[in-house]
Amino acid sequence: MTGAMPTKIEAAGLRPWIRQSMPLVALLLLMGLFSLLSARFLSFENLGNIAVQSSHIGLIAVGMTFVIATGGIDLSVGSVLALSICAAGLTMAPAESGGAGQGVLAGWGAGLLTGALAGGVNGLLISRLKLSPFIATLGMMSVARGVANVLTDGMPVEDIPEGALALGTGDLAGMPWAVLLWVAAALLGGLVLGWTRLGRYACALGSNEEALRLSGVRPGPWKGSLYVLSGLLSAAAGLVFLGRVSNAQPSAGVGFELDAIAAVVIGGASLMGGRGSMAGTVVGVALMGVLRNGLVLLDVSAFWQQLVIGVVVVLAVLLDRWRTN
Amino acid sequence: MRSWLNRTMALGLLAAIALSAGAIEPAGAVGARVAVIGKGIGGEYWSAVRKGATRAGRDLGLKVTYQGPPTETDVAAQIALLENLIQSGVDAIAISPCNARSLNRTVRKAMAAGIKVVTLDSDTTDKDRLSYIGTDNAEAGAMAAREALRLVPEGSVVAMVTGVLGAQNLQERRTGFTRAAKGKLRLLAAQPDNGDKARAVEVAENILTAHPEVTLFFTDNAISGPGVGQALKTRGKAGKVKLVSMDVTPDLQGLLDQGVASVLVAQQPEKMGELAVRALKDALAGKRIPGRIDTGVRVVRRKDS
Repeated sequence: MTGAMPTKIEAAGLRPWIRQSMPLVALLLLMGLFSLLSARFLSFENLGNIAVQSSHIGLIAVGMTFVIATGGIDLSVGSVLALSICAAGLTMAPAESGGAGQGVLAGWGAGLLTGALAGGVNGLLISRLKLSPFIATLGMMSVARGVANVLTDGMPVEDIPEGALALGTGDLAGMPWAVLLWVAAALLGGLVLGWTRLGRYACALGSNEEALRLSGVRPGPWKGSLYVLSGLLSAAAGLVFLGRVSNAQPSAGVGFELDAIAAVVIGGASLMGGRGSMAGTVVGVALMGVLRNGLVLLDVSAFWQQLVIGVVVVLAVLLDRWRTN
Repeated sequence: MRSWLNRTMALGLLAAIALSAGAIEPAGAVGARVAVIGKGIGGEYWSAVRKGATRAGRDLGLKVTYQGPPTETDVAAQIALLENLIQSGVDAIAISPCNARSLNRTVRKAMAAGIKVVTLDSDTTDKDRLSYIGTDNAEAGAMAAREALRLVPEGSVVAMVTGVLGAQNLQERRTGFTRAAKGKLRLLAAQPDNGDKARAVEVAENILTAHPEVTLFFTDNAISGPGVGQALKTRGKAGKVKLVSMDVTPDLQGLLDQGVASVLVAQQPEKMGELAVRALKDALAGKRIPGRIDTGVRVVRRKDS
């Protein structure tokens, strides 16, 4: 045990702001470059598009920030998203389409409950049965996908009621619901991470769980509840996703965990745990959204896009590493 | 030292993007900008679409770029891609929707923005586009049934293994097959493998156990075919129970060469890419284009069959 460990707990205070500014600088540089290269980049509509396109990954990344702060990982988020939208879809779709016809609100409720339950199972496996988060959520990744396929017989649930599409395509006084939801979740998440016991314990779990235990805190319930949060936010992301694609596919969300993890790490979190920053995560999500959008505006082909996105993710993290070491 | 490193890396980041943009966008490019959006970016099938589209673009003096979501199931990424292309002010788009319904709204948005849009390989349900360029799937299925009738006598029992139940194009192929085989072949109910080759092997093995009277398998896609072929090999039924499959892939070609598969009915993805770009060129020139362009199929038989 090294004595320097506790100084890594820095969810609040001034130093995170310096650290956070690096990804932000990278984002602004990127936006500047795209504005120079494409006259169409810096328009209200285009930036709005980027925000909506990023919102489901943004929601998942809020939960992932907590999980990664504890030194854990949640690989199941994409599958939990798929399971949640299938549960939501089956609850709200009319009986002719194989649903229960219970309406939009009941469907949203069923989706969120499903996500929280799946997260709860992850949490129990990790905090009670002491499985490593990687293994527990890897298992859930497969189980949730399997249940989604069983429930829907592998077919997309069609005829989602019009009202449910609002989360993906509607807006409140010009602000898309999807973006409002993301912003609210990130603000709330930032408050919890920086200024509540749950947030402080999350970082403490990641830097030195034993010390937390010795100070009289039972870590299990705190840790477990963060996986419930991650499941719940994956389900919320699913409801936005459902609104955008207008049917519930059991095959949705493949690979979303990697986008969310990349965003969190670009934002300055450490995969070893002990630190995480909600503002950084938001910037990380935005950085990837801006890249995907800008490269298309510049007519860069799909293969080059993959290459550039990979390079930028690694560079952004390296930049941060050099700054902080 | 540290700040030097920082600056170098920031510059590196900028250079990577500027270079990649520069590499793809030659200065002073002439002609209209056309985007071709596949269901995916990897794989032989989409490479062929891209090849055909790029060649047509070169011949016609259009600037063609190929785009696609990271996986064929990432519908949201494909919608985002389409939105970004609308923003980029592209002149024409050919798209193969990952999901026939989900893309309706954004395709309408592109058309409303004055962009010429066609679908290729598969269509949207609302059909709010200028044209659909692709395989006549019912005809492809019928063709496969006619080939099956050359291989086995009338009245034979035929099993069908499909990918995902409810996929529009596969459904049409099976319907075409069923219609052409009506009264001539006895068809068992189609069994799905959900796009999983290992599952296709199991399904085929179960069919062989439950229905030893089966003399021919029809598989309507490039995953079920190799799966069934594998099962026929391990059960020692290769060549005895015939296999007719849609698509030609290295996997399926290998099975044909080994005598496990007898006939392959190939779609023509390269032609789809090419004809889509040609149709878009006509549309941009103000010409009327047909609402449906059939890219045809190619029948590949084993030499001795």
